[in-house]
Amino acid sequence: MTSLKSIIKADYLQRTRSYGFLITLLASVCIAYTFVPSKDARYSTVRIGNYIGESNAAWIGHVTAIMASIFLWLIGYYLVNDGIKKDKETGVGQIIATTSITNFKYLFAKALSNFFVLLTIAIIIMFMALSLVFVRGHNYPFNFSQFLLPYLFATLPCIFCVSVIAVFSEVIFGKYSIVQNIAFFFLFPVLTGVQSLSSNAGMYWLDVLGTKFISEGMVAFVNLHFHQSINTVSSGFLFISQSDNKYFLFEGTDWSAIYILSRLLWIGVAFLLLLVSSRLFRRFDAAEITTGKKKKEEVIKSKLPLKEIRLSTLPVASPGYGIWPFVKTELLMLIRIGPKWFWLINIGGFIALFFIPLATAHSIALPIIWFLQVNRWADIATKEKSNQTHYFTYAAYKPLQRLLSSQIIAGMLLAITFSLPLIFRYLLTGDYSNAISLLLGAIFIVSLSVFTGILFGGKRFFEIAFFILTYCNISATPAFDYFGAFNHGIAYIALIAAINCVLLLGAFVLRDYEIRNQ
Amino acid sequence: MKLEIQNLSKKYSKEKYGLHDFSLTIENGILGLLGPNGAGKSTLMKIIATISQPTNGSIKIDGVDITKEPNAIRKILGYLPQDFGVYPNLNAYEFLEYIAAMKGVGGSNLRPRIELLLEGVNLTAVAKKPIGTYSGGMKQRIGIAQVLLNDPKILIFDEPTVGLDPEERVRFRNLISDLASNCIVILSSHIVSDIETIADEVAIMKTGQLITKGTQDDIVDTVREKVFESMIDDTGLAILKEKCLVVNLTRKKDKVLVRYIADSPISDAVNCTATLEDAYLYLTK
Repeated sequence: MTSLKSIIKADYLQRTRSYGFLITLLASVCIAYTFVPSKDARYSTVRIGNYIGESNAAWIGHVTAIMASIFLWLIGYYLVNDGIKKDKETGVGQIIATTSITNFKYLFAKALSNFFVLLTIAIIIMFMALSLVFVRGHNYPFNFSQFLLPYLFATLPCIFCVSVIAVFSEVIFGKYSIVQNIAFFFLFPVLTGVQSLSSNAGMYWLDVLGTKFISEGMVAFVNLHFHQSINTVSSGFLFISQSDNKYFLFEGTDWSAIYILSRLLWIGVAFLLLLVSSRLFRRFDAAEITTGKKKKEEVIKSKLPLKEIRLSTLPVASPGYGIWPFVKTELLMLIRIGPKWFWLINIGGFIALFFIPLATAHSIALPIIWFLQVNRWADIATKEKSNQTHYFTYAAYKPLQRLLSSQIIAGMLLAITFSLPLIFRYLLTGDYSNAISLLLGAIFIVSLSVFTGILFGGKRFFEIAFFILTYCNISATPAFDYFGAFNHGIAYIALIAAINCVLLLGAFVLRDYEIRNQ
Repeated sequence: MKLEIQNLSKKYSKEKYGLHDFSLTIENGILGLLGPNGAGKSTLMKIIATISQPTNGSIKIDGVDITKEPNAIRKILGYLPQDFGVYPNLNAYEFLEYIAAMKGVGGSNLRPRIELLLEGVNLTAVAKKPIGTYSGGMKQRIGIAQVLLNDPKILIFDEPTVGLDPEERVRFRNLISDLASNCIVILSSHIVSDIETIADEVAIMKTGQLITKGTQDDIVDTVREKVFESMIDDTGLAILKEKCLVVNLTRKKDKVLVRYIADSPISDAVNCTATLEDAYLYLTK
């Protein structure tokens, strides 16, 4: 037990003692604030038809718990899905592999560490919500149990499950983080689909997020007190007309034993998943880390008779200050990220863009295809640090003008290539505005990845931001449109172009600072 | 070519210095840098390689201050960092071509030059395999090859022999000796014998400062006639450790053969030939 506690503690401290985590916490405070919009806000987060609760403890507790569950499910995975990978990269894994710790204990420690990282964020959100209760709901009786219990029953099991899924996917997909990210991306719609099935059957046990029971309780409350026949709760950032809002005093949920049991069941499923993971986990097998003993043997056998290097006899290399050799290699590196078979999916998607209806291709298919490349975009300006080649690259001749520019150009070329079928179709129809928007969208992805990669010194922020952007876009949220799927016109194009310029300028300034201040 | 380091300081925090008022002039030849961990060797090398900015001071190459004009050295620099990485999905040719582009080197001679370099570091047979599959020693050899892609006039090697087998270490030393005739080579190593074999001059650093610089003979002179060996028991060893600097111990049954540095020896001591390692340990104690 002591060793488990020590592993969890060390892992938790390692993850939380970073600039990135501090930013995450600050972002969580801001996001938590947006979960409870004021009455004059132009959006709502949870509404039952036109009904919205007054800001008492029960309503704020329920709303923020629902939102925290969705939010932490969506982004939590991307925050914690590299615990085992880090151990592998740092070499700590090989030390762990030689200790007496069992696979299950190690993976359980990792899952708990993931859980505590997400719990920290959940607690921050909860405290922010609590402060909003005192600011906005001070006229109402303070019912602490109805504030707290939604977190306890919905959010906590939800983040435990996502913590375990992160461990499970690391064990299953190993070094293919690109597959990991994408598999989780598609897991959410699958679970949402299953959730609607469970609603038809009047059961809650298929709902991993645990929000269904709470939402239905809210619906039942409104239907009973206001003689309505509303079926569902809308949740998310809902930019719909707020003029018809009707406010009611929400008293909370009658917690049922079956619901609580369903939550315990999900925790049990998570443990089962851990057990399966522990059977499949190969304990940092060296053969997995390199690419197999066979190759190493081949290398050793292939030693040739030794030759000395005589610098004076080497052909004299001539100066070459062009950037195209860089662009070529950068492009090559981007293309080689992830498994080769993944390109079959990319090519399939690329061809499909020629044939599926233009609007669908633009608003849904293209953002998904772009998202499938998330690891490529995230790698553009972070690979120096992650591969420890920054000692070479920062000492390069004119590293900003030549190297960073090439990385950006290579990224843009690839992003534009994916959108070419649509650009081609728009050009054929004479719709130049949409073609330009697509070009700007491709540039935006690369600009955002480069800027955030340099600013935060890693891929995480971009991965999460891009995930949210993609989800919002395929959910048709115009405010997050960066590639002209919903917004058109000169003003919009100018706005995206300006954002791109700011991001790129920021990236150059930050990289310049980074090079000078190693 | 002349490299002048003047009053160089690198301050990490209010009281922590990586380098403190460090001055040194280096001309063609091999300068060996010795110092314990945290002495500031890597910091110095990073500043010369332009990947770190000093807090104060200047570094001039033939009169040009590279802290202000870093591109002046980048074209003629060959730098092998202590902890460097590679792009695992590139093969040796692709990686070296990429590094060559960074250094501003190209043209039709680049490919044959890379081939000869790979031959020289004994990686031709695996040159088309992804570098991610290489062993630590092979990656180190790729690192050595990249240093020589351009025609470097200043070569900086930070712990270059880590991961190399004895045969490769000898080949590396020979290579460095060949380079030194018309280049400035700065070489840091924890392995004193590496420096001892090839360095024309040696600089010893401690806590960010230069302790001494000179030829190996000059430095060894500081402990000449002060190095002794005695065969003693454990009790005698404990007393000796309090009085003198013990530089080596060899256990032989119930006695210990002790090599130590002292102004005056204990009884039955044998006077030994002083080495660079003795001087280094004495100066950094």
